[in-house]
Amino acid sequence: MRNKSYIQAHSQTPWRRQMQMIGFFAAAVAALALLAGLYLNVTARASTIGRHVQSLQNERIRLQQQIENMESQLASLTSNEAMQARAEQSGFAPVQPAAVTYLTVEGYRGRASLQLAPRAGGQFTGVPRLPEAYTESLLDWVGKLFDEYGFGLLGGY
Amino acid sequence: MPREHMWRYLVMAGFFAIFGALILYKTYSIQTSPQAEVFLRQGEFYSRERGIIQPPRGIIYDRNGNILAGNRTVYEIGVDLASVRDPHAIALALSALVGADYNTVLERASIPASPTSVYVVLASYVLPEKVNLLKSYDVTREAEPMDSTRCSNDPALYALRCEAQLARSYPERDLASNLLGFVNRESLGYFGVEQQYQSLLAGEPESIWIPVAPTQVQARPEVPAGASLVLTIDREIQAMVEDTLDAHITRTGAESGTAIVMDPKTGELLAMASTPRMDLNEFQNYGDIYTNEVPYNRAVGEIYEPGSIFKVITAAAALDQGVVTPETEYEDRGVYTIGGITIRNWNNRAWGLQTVQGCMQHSLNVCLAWMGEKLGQEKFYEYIDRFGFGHQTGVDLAGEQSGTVKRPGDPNWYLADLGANTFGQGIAVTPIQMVMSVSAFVNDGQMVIPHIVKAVIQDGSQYNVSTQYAGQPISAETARTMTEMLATSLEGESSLAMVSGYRLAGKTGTAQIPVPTGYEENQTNTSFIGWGPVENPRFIVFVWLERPETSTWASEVASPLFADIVERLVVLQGIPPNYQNIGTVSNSGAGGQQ
Repeated sequence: MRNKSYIQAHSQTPWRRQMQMIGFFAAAVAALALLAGLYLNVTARASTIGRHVQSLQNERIRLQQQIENMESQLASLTSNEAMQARAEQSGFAPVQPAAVTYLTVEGYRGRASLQLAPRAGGQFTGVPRLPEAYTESLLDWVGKLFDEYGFGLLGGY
Repeated sequence: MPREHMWRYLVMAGFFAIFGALILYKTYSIQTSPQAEVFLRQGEFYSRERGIIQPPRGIIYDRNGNILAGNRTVYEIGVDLASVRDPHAIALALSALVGADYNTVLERASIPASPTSVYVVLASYVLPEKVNLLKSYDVTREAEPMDSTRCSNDPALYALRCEAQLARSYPERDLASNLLGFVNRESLGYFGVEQQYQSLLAGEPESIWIPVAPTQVQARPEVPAGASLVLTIDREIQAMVEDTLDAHITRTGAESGTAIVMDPKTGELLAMASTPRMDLNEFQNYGDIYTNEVPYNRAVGEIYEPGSIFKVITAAAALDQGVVTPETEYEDRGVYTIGGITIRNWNNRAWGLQTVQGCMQHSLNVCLAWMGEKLGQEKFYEYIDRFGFGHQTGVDLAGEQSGTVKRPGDPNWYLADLGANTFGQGIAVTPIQMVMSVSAFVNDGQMVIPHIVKAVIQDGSQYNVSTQYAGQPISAETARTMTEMLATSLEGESSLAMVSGYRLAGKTGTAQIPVPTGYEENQTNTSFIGWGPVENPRFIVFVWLERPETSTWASEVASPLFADIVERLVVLQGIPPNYQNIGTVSNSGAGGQQ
């Protein structure tokens, strides 16, 4: 059977070419619109989160001020003058030296020095540690897994 | 597409092309115009706001953790000029609710808004209670929340802004005010600890740019708070010393008073009081209280001629050099001439044959002048130097004076000065210098430097301050001999400074007050310095009453003050009595010491 070849008289009909151009243009517009929409979405979310961060930062400052304020209020309520007045209202009176009975306790060194923070340079064991899961890499994890099961492949020991 | 319609499309395309080209051209011309720089700067300016992160000022605690200086919230009230609707309403509200001056507020709120006048401060340091009144000004509307910077819910006051900020607060009011100092509205410390440790307490404020666009929000930098201080002061002892001092000033009619309590082993100041004092929360009254150049803290900032308490220095120098011993005898004839002046005893009497112990017990000027001359001017002034007179002690409080010591070789020094200096006249010292010098008698001859800060808390760590020494002016043996001699002196005189159950050592000082023409008549400075218990000293107490009226003698006014302080101090420090006093406390008046 002989093969027959057909030759198209025109590469495209004019209306097809127009439709193609419109299609490309529409696709480009749609792509741009999609990009713009994505950009708008990301920007809007960033803005919302940014505002939230700003308000949290302001809230943090406000809370810090509130803490300082309340500490001062507490100090005022427990001031020497206020405590003396409360003691007197409760029927207490300053002790007279002759009325004091001393009891000597062997080894008692008196009130310990005030420690408001860990001493500089000293060991402090109370710091909470971040679990390893938050810091270890995938390789570390796999290595640990192998070690746990006794393969010792990645650890080299 | 019909060809006859083609030109329409071409016209439209041409129109849009030209329009687009014009936009591009305009954009380009704006970018390259001479005003472009200005526009860029303006854009930059409006895209962010400048802010200063002021770290909270460090807290000051006493040695037991009680807050002596903290922080509280106050408000700055300002007005956004562009939003002002009715300046009269603003002025009326602020004058009625905040107490601001009506005319001043009206004048400021009426300033027209411009690029250079955007915001004006109308009132500062406004207490939260007053801001609360503003926030709920219009009862028909819901009150503004406290965290909103808008001051009021009333539309006429919408332009008002209330910015919260921290200000210094002193919960103990006037307690320890002389040593704490205060902080002004510009956050600068004045006097005492607040001035001395200004940079540590204030921290480092940081200036930042805050972007207006929320998409550009960045984390604000962590600005560490100012360092907190733990003082060596004990609040209860401080309050007791102030109360006792005030009571004795009232009782004796003294012009002013000063008292210091120090731990002699460590140099920690347990209490320091002087008059006048003020409520530190109302520091603006400073000028009314401290008139005529009155020192803020007399304990470190005022010099005076100490009188006989200075005899302990002369005696210690003479003993240390081996010039005399406590048993060395001296025939007191009531007068002694040195450098052309005649020195007499406090009662103008001759006391006959006396030992050095007796000279100290009866506080004989003539004997001490003899001792000083025997020691020699060179050695005497060498010991003055060794004991730190004429120099600052280095105590960590602002405003310390160094005193006045004339030395041989100085143009205004004469041999007569040596005689006067031996019994504490013609020489000016500060109370803290006396306390530091006497610490040598307690620490085997070593002088401890007084200090007020026990620990610094910075960046989450506590740095404890260690004891420092200022040399060893005398030997350990001399120190012990002096203590024993002065304890025996008090017992021998049945001094009013004695406290039942405790063996104490000390010395009175009654000094004439110098004026340009000589010395004042019938006016004295009376002081006492003592320490105890002798077998294991836990405190040095110094007291000074200036120009008392009931008596001019220290033995009658300063000694009882010392005893009253010690009597309460031993209870607060939990020091049990362990001594049967030889001479019981007497109220019969002045003994041999004056």
